[in-house]
Amino acid sequence: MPKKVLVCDDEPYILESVGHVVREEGYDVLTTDNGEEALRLARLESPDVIILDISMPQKDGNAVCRELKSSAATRGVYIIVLTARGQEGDMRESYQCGADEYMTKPFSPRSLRKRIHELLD
Amino acid sequence: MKRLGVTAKLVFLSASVLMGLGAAVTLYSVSQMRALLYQEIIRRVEAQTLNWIEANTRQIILSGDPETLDRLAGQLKERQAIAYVILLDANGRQKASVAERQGLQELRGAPEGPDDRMHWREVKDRQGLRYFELTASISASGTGMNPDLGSLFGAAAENPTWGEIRVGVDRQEFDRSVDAMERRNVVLAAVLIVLAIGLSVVFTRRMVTPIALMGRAANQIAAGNLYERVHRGDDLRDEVGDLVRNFNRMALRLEQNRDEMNLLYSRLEEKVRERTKELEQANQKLKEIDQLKSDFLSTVSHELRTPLTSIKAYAEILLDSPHLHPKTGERFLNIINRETSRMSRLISDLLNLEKIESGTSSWTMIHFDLREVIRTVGAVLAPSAAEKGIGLRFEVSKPQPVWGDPDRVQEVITNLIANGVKFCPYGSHIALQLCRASTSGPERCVRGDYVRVEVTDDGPGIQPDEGHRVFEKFYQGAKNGSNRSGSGLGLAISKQIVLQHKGEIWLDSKPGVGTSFYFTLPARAPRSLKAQVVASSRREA
Repeated sequence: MPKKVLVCDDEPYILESVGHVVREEGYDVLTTDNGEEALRLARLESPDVIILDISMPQKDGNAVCRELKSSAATRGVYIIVLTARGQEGDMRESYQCGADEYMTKPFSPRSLRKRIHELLD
Repeated sequence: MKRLGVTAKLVFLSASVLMGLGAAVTLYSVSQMRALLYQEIIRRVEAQTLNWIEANTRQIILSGDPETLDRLAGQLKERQAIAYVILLDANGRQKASVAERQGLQELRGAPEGPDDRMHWREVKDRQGLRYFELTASISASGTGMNPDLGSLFGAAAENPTWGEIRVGVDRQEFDRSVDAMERRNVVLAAVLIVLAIGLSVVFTRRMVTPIALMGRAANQIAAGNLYERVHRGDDLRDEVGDLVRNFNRMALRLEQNRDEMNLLYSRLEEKVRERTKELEQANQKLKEIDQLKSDFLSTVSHELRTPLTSIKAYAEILLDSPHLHPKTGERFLNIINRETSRMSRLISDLLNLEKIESGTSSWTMIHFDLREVIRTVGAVLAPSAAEKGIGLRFEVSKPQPVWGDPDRVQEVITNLIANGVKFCPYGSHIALQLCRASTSGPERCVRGDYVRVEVTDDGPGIQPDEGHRVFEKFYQGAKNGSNRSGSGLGLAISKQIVLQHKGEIWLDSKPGVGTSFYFTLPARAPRSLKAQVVASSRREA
């Protein structure tokens, strides 16, 4: 059974590109453009990795991280934050909220591909 | 040791001087008077005795019987101040005596008599009473009598001296009169001294009290009570009075100076407080501006990164996927193309906004017909509206002159309608209306001749709490994901353009019902500009 990756970003083109990259590697990909839906899918589908944007309307990525890590069912999921916020304070905040990894936009699909393989194979 | 005041010192000084003087004068006068009185009594007794001898020698020598002698002695005793009289013959036998004192003893010699036939001595009786005793010889010759008389008495001629007389003067009586006089003198002197001391106390107090009060007042002034004054002695016409008046003048001057100084000081303090507050406010403002700038920078970088992320991601995907389906590849290239346009639009919008905000953009302000601008906008936006099935309706029947920059006004109207087209669902309607208005809008309410532009749609509407924020830079509301094609600066730029025209822009929206955007433009050039405009249009003509 292929591993599952959940991608959450409010920018449709970025969401599509990340989804495309991960899907091409043979993993199951779930995509959503908002935090609430991401939480719902995480509980329902138990993905192995979540690639999460931070700046989103309504529920932002850090809030999603906190909720995922505070619930026993979703605590084990590996969270890669993928954000355009590149400042040190932003990174620290995301780690405090429970992110496992921090990547900044623009990202390189090659590196992302490599990283996903390392994590899931 | 207790401190002595000036008053006490001056009183002691004058008292001791006066007492010393009084005592000296009294003592001197008493001793002088005693001597005078003494002399007077002595001489009187001497004279009386001599007179007596002269008057009675003959009788004494001739008769010599005791009865006669007693009678004669009694006569002498009757005279003033004479206490006793004793007659002795040449052999020292007592012949007669009046009021004789017992056990007389010699104490010492007393004043010299007037000649060698008389001399004085001081004696004391058994009771201790003292007497001055005059002893005078009684003789036929040398008494001033005719010497022939001596020859008349045969026996007497051989022995011219008959005997002697002793006359006692009561020393006590003498002393009593002297003492009475002495007492009078002393009492008089004492009264005078007391009177003098009293006067000196009065005068000293009159002089010293103001000085003491000044000392106290100076102490009060030193402690900060500058309203303190001296009210005693300021009417004196002497140096103390001058001192008091000058002291009071000085205190008044000090008080005035301090009041002035306090006033200046409080004003200065007030000023410093104001300045400090101004500086703090300026500093706060600078900080806010700095914060805004840094927020803006981070927002801009975020906004630029977003299209850049897509561009990079799809470019790399295309590069790494040689076997990509041609349709997918084309789609990805289109995305790259669109995101590139978005980025360049973002950059030009940013520059545009920055120029308007900093006041460096140039404006071509003229009177123009708003209808023409609206017509152009309609032509530009009609295809995209038609594509979404949105009906555009422009209710503009007659010419509507306004004062402004036509290109910028066109930009505002385009933004508003394009927003409507973007956010409204398929089949919605967008209407544009014009009307005259007498104020600039609900916020500033500047009275004047304005034209109000209304753009109304029946789209999803805007949440009430977002009403104001939509005019902020990069504010993109609770969007539904698919509409991130704009720069997020359209309404911010529109607002700046309208403000530049001295108009206002605002909105009215009900979620689920629709949104109305309004903005106003002046119908005519402001009065200050009119003359200029007329002049320039004439030149052109």
